[in-house]
Amino acid sequence: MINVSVVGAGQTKFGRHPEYDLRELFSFAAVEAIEEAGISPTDVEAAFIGNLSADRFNNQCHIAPMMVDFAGMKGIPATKCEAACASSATALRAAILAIESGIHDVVIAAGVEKMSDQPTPSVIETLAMAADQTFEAGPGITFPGIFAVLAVAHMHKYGTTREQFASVAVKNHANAVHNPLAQYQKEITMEKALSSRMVAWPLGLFDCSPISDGAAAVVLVRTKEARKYTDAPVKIIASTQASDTMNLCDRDDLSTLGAARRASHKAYKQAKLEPQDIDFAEVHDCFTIAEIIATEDLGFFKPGQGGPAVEQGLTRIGAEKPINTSGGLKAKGHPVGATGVSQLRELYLQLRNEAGKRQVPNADVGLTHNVGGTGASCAIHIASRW
Amino acid sequence: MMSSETTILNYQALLNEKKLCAAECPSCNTLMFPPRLFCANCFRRGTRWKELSGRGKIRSFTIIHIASATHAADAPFVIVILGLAEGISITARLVGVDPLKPEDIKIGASVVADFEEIPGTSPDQSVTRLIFRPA
Amino acid sequence: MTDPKDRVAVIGIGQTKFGEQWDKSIRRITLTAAGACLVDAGVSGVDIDGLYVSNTSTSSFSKQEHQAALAADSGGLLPIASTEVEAACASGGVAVRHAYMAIKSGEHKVVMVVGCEKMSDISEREIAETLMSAADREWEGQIGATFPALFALLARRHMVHYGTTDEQLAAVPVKAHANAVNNPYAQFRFKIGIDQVLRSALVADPLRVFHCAPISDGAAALILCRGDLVEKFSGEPIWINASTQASDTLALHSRPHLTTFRAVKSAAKQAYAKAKVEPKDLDVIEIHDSFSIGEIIATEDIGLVEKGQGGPAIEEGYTAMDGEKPVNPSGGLKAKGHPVGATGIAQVGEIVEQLRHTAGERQIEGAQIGLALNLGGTGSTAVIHILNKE
Repeated sequence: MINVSVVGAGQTKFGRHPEYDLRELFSFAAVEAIEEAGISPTDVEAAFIGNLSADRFNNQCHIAPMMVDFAGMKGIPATKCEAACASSATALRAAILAIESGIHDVVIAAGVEKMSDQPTPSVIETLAMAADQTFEAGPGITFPGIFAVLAVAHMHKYGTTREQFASVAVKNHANAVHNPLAQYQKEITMEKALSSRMVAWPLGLFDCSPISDGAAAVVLVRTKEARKYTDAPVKIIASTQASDTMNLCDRDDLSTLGAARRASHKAYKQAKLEPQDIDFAEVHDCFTIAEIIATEDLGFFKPGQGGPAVEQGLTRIGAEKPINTSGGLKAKGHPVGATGVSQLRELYLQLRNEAGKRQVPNADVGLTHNVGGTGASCAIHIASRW
Repeated sequence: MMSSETTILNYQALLNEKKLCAAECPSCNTLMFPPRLFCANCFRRGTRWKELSGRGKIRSFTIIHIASATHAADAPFVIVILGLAEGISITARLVGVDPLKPEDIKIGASVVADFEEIPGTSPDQSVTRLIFRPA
Repeated sequence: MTDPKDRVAVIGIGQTKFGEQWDKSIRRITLTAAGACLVDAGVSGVDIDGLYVSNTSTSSFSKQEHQAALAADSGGLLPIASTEVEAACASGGVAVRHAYMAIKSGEHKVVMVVGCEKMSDISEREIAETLMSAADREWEGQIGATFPALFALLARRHMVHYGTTDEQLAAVPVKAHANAVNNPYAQFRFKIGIDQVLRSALVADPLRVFHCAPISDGAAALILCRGDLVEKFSGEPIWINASTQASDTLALHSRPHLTTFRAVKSAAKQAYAKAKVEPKDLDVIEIHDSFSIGEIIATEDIGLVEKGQGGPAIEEGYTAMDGEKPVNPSGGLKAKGHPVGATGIAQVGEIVEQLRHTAGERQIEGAQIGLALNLGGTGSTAVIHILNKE
């Protein structure tokens, strides 16, 4: 059992922010989280920051000390963690372990990415570096291409349809309408989703998450101290991580992500819960097919039933298992390094009944599922209401 | 422009107008360079621009003989860290000195800010770079 | 005495030779170090339950992100929890600290730390550009400052303030090269003279080519183990008694003093308090001499000598192999080589060898306590480990 709680959370609006520098985006999210926790930046003892590639996107390495200094946290240990799109969930896990180790008491876990400085083809090239450069990206496969391979396998094995993929995008856009920090606060129709430009068959543009800038941050403390900071801390009760082969071709089954199954299995054990105990989840829908596979890997639906489930509305807010109430990566946006912590922020809001019009009724336990690359990394966190 | 938010982007926009500015906290008057959005002292958001005199003294210097790819054509050139009269510090290029005579450059020597146009691929893409000269 | 369950030991070390290795892929280099480390520790892959990977910029050097998952996969350690950490040249030291915390948290028992960097695949100017991104691009990189230039600014100030001389700066690489002769993994196993250093080409005045650590390929690995489990494995345990980290502004100009590394002072102070030792108790020290001035400033900031005495100390042999406080018996970054992501791990590896008394011809007799200091950027990150034979 993990004994760490969230006592403050912050996030920038996701989208394009040409007016702000990377450090400025970070400071908005970090200072909001710190203020929410009722502390000063100088009370934070260590920082763990997820980021995929500031070195490529912004020509800047060594971002962690720069970020903390700019947000007023002076001289503290500050480390960047990278695990492709799961970077900030691994930063979150590092932050949790830092508290569990007894070395730190008050830490910040955050993520930041600013992708829109670069032209789209160069962003695609950098993202592809999260796949195996020698054996996958080298031949020219892109990330949509890799997930398209999974999509085809899933369609072949279970009869999943393009309409079911589109249902994910339609639902997530509908949820994002109620999230003021989402990149796309507008609904889309099935027709629009299905008729969007083909990116990598069978995935069209509306099956893909966008290029985004943004930052998210949470302040973590030991659970037994948490009530000193806020009346309604959110308890993290599981934090797990697993890895899988870099290359899809090395995996036996292309309709599932093994790392997600293993990490969630461990997480359920750690939290002493079953999939049916999870009231809602934020899952990594970098592509629509990924959400369908996630809901199966997490045990919410049987293998092959993820497609029909979303099509039948079982994952809408108010239904049996609300998924991506924030709008998900698809509609909330996906500044890759910020995504994992942003997912936890959604849990924080939901578990404090602060999610406004997208509030899940009676939400007691939520789960985040953050995937790196094509599932070579996966980190799972489970959080519960105080 | 002087009323704009104290972002790094706006700092450059002010430089393009030949104004060297730092951020200042309206509540505790802390002066910050590089500019910040949150006061480094009292953490309050909403710092404002304050134009600097551009006068300062050399804290340390070096002459770059082997440069990175982008700046290779300029070598050798002089980089200085300066303490400005207002009590803040800045890294910049020093021109108007012989880079092959480091003995002529002294720590503590007075310098003054100047602005240099760096041509872009088109006239509207040129940017202004802050440089310093001996005072 | 602390309960062994609450302590962490290094039980295995491994590294490749540092230097240019065009003929080997980054996977191969990483695996070589990891494999050597497993053998040294007497640990098999299935015993490892956590992996921390450090490197600075495989995206620019090798067009590969997600190095942690790649290392887990190519190392046959799936489905292990594998995380990559980055803190510029301090990435390795920070990874060691994360592994240490992961064990202290109770989450992991036996953790591998591996750091690698393959820098020689791209041109030197591109490397300079990539390395420079570890400084503040907005305020330093854009005007053409390079890493040697930033350290040159520190050097100039130190010279004016404390009277540090060109000859004292040159004494650092001379000592490093002399020590590296006895290190089979070092990139440069030959001696150099003061004159050679002083005659070498200027990179950023007053720093010359021989003041700068080279461009290197290489990997280094460690296995850390919870204290109560060390008996299960054959590798001789060396105990980590402190693991601390601190940060400072990225841009040099934002610091009040240009002759000291505040992050080093802060990390050192915390480390001495945790390990309950003082500078005088140290028998062997590995310091981050990416540029010779870095070693001089660091010997002062970790308290080996008084402020301003770093120059005279090196010149008088105080930090030589047979001196009072031997610094960088491995040859340091200058002569052992500096594959940035591997450096911090290799430093701890050297201390472990010294405390195990297996360092061969470069052994410091009777070494009991050692310190490794790994620096990121221009001291924006500092990580210190204090290790003890007992």
